[in-house]
Amino acid sequence: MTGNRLAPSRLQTVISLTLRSGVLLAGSIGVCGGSLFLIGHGTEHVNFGSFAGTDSPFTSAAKVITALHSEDSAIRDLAVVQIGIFALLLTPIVRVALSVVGFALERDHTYVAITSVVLLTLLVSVLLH
Amino acid sequence: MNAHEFSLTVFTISIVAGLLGALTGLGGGIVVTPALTLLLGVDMRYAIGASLVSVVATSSGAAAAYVRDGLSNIRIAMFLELATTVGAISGAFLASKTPTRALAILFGVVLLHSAWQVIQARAQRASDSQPQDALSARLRLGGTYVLPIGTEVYQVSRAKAGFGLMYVAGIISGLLGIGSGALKVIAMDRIMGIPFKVSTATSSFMIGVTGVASAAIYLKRGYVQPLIALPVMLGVLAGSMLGARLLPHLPVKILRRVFAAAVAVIAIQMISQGIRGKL
Repeated sequence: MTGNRLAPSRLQTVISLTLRSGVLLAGSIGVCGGSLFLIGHGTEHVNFGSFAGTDSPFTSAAKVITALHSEDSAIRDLAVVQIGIFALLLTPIVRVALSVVGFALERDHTYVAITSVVLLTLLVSVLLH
Repeated sequence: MNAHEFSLTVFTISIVAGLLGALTGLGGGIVVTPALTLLLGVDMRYAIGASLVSVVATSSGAAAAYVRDGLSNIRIAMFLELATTVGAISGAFLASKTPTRALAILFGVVLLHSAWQVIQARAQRASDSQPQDALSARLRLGGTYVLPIGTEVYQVSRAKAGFGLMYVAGIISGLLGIGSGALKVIAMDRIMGIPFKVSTATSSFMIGVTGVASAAIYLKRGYVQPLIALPVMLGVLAGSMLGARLLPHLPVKILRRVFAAAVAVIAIQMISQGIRGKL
């Protein structure tokens, strides 16, 4: 089956592994938080017909950490879920950062520059208000 | 509805959406937003946030395999991500200034166009014999990929035009919370003359990075509700993995058209709800 495949480069292997483990980690954290929430609050009524916007306690890393220490166990459990989602969103960013390193090791200056600009754009989007 | 029923329903809908997305090649995110808004009455902003999270998950999952097999071209992806990430940020900003009704109508139009593309089934490829352009040569965008019969070498043409269309794909992705894989494939396959398999694999690889650029902004605006995003992410992921497994064993040509027709019906529903202001 794999006889005529080109051997993947180190960069390809590392990126592939990063993507896979990011999704697995995110899914596992999410399932933990979600199960906790459903065990404690599964029978409570939910309605998402109206939009709460930034009143949500899960709109930044700082707010989620606060939510983890909340008195309300529903908020705590959902904060765990949101951490899983953070892990998922970090995966492609880590992938781009690794590509910068990969191109630098190959001394491919053009692509170090291109990839760094993409990384910077992602960081701007994360830090922007 | 209580939380048990809600998450189970969302999970089930998302599996179907992921399955449909994989079988039509449209991606799961594009089906999940109308399903959540039309069937469950979820606010469109929550649906978009959840869909975008699922898009990042599906892209990362699928791309892991493509990258390992050397199908995704990492250089092309990095070069074009310059355009899609900036586009995605612009799109996410535009989204907050656009009324939900207008978003729904635009969503319907994009969905209808994508369904039409599937039904038409890619007849012509104009760019087979285009010469390599100077920019592609400078950036060494060409590459090789492995076919059952041997290794094929390909070159890239019209890099600037492809780059421009990628910016548009990024805007639409950020505005509607979808991967806009269809548009990315058009830019690579039809304009830049990249082999179809490499185009789809590279598109799938790029979608995660494009998605994150706008998801980060959506998250800060409260669009990502964990109780919706989690079952959507898990469901779409499971559905699209199942779809990819089933794909080789199904009469794909017929199925694609049937599902694309179903997607078209959803699209029209979305447009009409948007016009009547029901969302």
